[in-house]
Amino acid sequence: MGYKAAKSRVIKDLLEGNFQHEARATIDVKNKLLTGEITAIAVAELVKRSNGTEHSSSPHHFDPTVDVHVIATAGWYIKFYFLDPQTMFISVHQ
Amino acid sequence: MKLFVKGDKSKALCEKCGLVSTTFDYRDVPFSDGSGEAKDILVAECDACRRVVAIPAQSTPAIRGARPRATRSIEAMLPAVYLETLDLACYKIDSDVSLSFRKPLLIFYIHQFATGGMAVKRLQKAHASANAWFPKRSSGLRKRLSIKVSAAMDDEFGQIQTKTKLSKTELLKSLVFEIKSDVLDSGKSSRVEELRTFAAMASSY
Repeated sequence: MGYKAAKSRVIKDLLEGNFQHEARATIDVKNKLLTGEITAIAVAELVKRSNGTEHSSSPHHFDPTVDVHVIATAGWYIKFYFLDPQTMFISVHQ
Repeated sequence: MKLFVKGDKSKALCEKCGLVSTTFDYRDVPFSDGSGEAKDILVAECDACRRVVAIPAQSTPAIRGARPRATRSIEAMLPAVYLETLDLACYKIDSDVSLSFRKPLLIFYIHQFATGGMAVKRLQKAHASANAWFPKRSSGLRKRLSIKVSAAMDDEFGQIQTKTKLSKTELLKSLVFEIKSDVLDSGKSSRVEELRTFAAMASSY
């Protein structure tokens, strides 16, 4: 999935609250969307204002068939993937 | 908003098992920095190894509540008349809450100006008016105004400072003067009623 499709889908899922956070037995305090230090609406705004040069993707370490998207924009690093029917966030941090 | 309940099924990538089906349940989950744990939050457990592999969006408020809050101080030494004015406004809004309403009242105004509910230009005008109303000669006795606020609220205060180019002290004086205009001078009943409702809510916490 390319930048435009990933951008459109992650914004939709953020605004609809249709997402979870990947966890490894703990609450990752660096994930500010998970800890509530930034809202889903604010993250959606950051993604809206991003552009394709700020996007990259790579296979997930746990399952190489899953593409992990990274949008590094306005000082924020937003890392997520899609696991139908939801978006899974790995991290949203500055 | 997708909401899950205990026993619902989903899927996730487990560090140990890969792509797995998950089941939602309530668990105590530690913070990664060792600063404590969030108790009884809804999580998704791997159906194969029972590890916590995902946390739904609906658990964020409970996580936020369990995190130690960083607080910052907004404080300044002001001529005593500003504190008296602020306290009189609190008293007029609700004679029962009085001094304890200083902080919520100031926060209400800071938030309104930071988010555009009130125009910042009003503050610049209030600053000029405040200096005319409370001339420096009346500032013999000064008192400390200090409120502890969240980092987000401190950032909002900083945003107004940037927009108005006022020092912390001068901005606080302008805010107090604006409160004076709304509550003590103009008799804007709608604003006072709004603040009475706000005071009733603030005092219940």
